[in-house]
Amino acid sequence: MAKKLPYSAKPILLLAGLLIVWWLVPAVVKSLVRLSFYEFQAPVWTVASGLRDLQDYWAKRSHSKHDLIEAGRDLARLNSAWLLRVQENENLRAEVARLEKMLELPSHPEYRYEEARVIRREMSSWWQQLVIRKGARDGVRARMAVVYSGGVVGRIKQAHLYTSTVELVSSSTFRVAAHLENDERPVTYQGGINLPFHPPRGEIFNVQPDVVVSALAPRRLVSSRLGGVFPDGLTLGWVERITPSPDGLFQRGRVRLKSNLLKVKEVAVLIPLDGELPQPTGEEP
Amino acid sequence: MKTDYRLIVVLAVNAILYVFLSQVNGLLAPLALHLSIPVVYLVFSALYLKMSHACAVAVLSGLTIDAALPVAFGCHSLLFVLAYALIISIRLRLRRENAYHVTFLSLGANFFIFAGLTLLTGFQGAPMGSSLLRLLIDLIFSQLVLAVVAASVVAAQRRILQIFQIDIASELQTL
Repeated sequence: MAKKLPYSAKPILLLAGLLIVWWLVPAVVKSLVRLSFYEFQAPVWTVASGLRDLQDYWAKRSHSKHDLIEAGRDLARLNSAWLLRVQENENLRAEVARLEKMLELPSHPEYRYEEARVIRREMSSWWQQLVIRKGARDGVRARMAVVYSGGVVGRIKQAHLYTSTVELVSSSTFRVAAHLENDERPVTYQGGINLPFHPPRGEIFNVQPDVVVSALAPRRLVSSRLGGVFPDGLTLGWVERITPSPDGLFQRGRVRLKSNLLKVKEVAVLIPLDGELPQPTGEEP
Repeated sequence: MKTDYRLIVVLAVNAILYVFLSQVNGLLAPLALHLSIPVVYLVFSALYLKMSHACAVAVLSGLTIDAALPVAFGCHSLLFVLAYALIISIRLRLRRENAYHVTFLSLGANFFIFAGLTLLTGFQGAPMGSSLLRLLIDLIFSQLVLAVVAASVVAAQRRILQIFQIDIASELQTL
């Protein structure tokens, strides 16, 4: 007589069976299944985000006329200041173009800004990413730069049809070329571990030995064109401390990122105007 | 013959829980905290559903979670099925109507999934000390929240099934 399987052996056998089936499934099928599962749930995040926007709208509607007039006045002041800056920028751009032509330098890549709402945040100890409400349909592609008013947010990890996943600058898998303000020598930036109730932070490596930084006089760390993803000069964070590397040749330092990075609501994707996508470099894992 | 909707109901409840937990994590993000209690998708089905249904719930819930995360596709499904095998091995020694037993089981299975995910994901080049500290804080926070909600979530799922005229609590505890 055949012996019956013990009670606890059944799930183990089932697990083994499932693993074998999963192992035999071709990678293309797995990739398609993953895409289907993602696109199936994407509308849920979009609807949830839309509902939050609606909630904000009704909350703002409850503001008094006096508040609105004050906000309008403040915005008008800001607009005038920004208009002046735009004029300055136009003059500087013209100057840069003239110098590039005169010195026969390669021109800087130009971008258009695609604004997008953040619809989901995942800030775990394993990964840190955002999901935004713009995707391949809007011209967003993997590896494009994502910025906000405070500087760099991260880069597009994956562009889906209506949504995209952004790998945050604070994520420990994020690695990019950067340099200190007023110092063109490149350093390597990498995201760090964000402890609860603390501002996000990262680290820099390969800092030249003559660079001096202190907590009293932190230096701004900005993006570099060398990485091929970000334009030059976007704020990554502030370097507060530098210590010698174990190799003794270079230094390494701690970078404080802006605390509002973790609650950013709207970002902009930098889409190259020449249509050329950022290429992978050795700086990234 | 009456159609049995229990699998669909459990999957729908899991979908709602998934969206709700994602929203909670979105709210916790500015504090750099993460609530990791994926066991809530699994514990009810492991205690009340037959093996084929429970495995379907584990695999489908796992794939849904994996699709949106930077992990190998199937990672959560594997951990869920492993956790299910763990629960099955001690299921008959526990009383599923007892809130303490459900809580104890959920805490154990959640710790198993958390540890498994940490091992599968790795520390990704970050400093080990800070990584461990952050992991520990997230784990303690998640376990505390789970200890409070686990029994209520299972009881709520049982009541939802009762709305669909499925009195699952009175059925025999079988595989």
